[in-house]
Amino acid sequence: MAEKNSKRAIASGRLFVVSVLYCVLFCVPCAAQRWFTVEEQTKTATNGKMRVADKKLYYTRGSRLIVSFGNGPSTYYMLSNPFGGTDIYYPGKNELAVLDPGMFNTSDELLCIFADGQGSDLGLSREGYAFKSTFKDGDYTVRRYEPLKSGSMCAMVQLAMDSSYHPVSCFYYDKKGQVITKTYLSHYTELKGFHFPMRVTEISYFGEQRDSTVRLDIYSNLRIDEREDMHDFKVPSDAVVIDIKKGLKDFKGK
Amino acid sequence: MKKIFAVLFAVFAFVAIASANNYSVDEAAVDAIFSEAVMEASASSMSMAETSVSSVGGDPQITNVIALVVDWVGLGGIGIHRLILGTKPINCLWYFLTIGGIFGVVPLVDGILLIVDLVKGQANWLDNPAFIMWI
Repeated sequence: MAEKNSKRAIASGRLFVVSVLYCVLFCVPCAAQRWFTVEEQTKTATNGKMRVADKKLYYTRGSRLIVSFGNGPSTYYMLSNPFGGTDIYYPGKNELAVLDPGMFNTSDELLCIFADGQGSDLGLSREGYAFKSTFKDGDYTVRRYEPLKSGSMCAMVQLAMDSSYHPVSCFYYDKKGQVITKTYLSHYTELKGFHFPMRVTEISYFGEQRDSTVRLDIYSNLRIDEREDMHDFKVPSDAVVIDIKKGLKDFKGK
Repeated sequence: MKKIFAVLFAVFAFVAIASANNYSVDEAAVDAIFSEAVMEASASSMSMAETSVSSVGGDPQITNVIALVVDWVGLGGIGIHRLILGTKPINCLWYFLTIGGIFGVVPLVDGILLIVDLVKGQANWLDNPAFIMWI
């Protein structure tokens, strides 16, 4: 009996030690890589005209994304959470516009996709695409995905990864086999174990004549686990809630 | 004209380079597209597809006055005042098909709202893509 109790005590002790080791080895590192900050410049060209937008992204993993647009008195913030709620706040006027739920989502932002560990498939699984097949094309590994739900405009997605298994291109095809959007990711940088493409080119085709819009996102000044005031930004309680349409109109820069 | 040809050439070259079976893009070609493009506005905007006709530009109040005059002289029934304010050209068709903007009700309200804007010194109805701009 005493021997049995002794064995039980030893087993419990070992289990305790293993649990502590597990927590130390895995849980502590998991608490890292929580705050992400990056600056982004977006250029869009269509029909020979170009627009440029500069913004700063502050993302708390699993929580909010705050995007700061503009400088000085024209600055405004877009605050979105993983559940689809999006607010636009104008600090200069202390005004807040609440947009329709689902209008923007943190899952739409590339930084959030990579920060949440969805970078390997660019969040396709989360978007409702199922992996169908894979093949090698030279140094590239190409994976094909199809939407789980029927009726989607996109019939197939082809994701190509380089030899380091970084996604380098993502093509969306419609039911006729025509390309809808091509996205190219390059200039991967590695910071504290986090890999992120610092240059993203997206070409979207539309219309019968297959007109195209080219969008170039250039990221810079990536910082990880450097908690800044903007990560904890809270809209003042005395902010004036303004009309949604006015807020959206201002957000679209008109 | 030279710029247009240069942009078109850059776009076609870019399309040829970024073929469906190519997993990388020629970044120099992409940069060339942007270097040849004309800067439209430095706007913090996520809406990239331009489908509307922009307002005539200049002082918004003058735009409002011109739109109001056009509205009240009778051209509001076919939505010409909305083109001046900036909107989708198809809205003029809606004004026409609804027999002068729902029998003249829409241009009438448009005119009243333009007067209100002029009095308040505002310009709330510029570049509004909706058929009925006040809904």
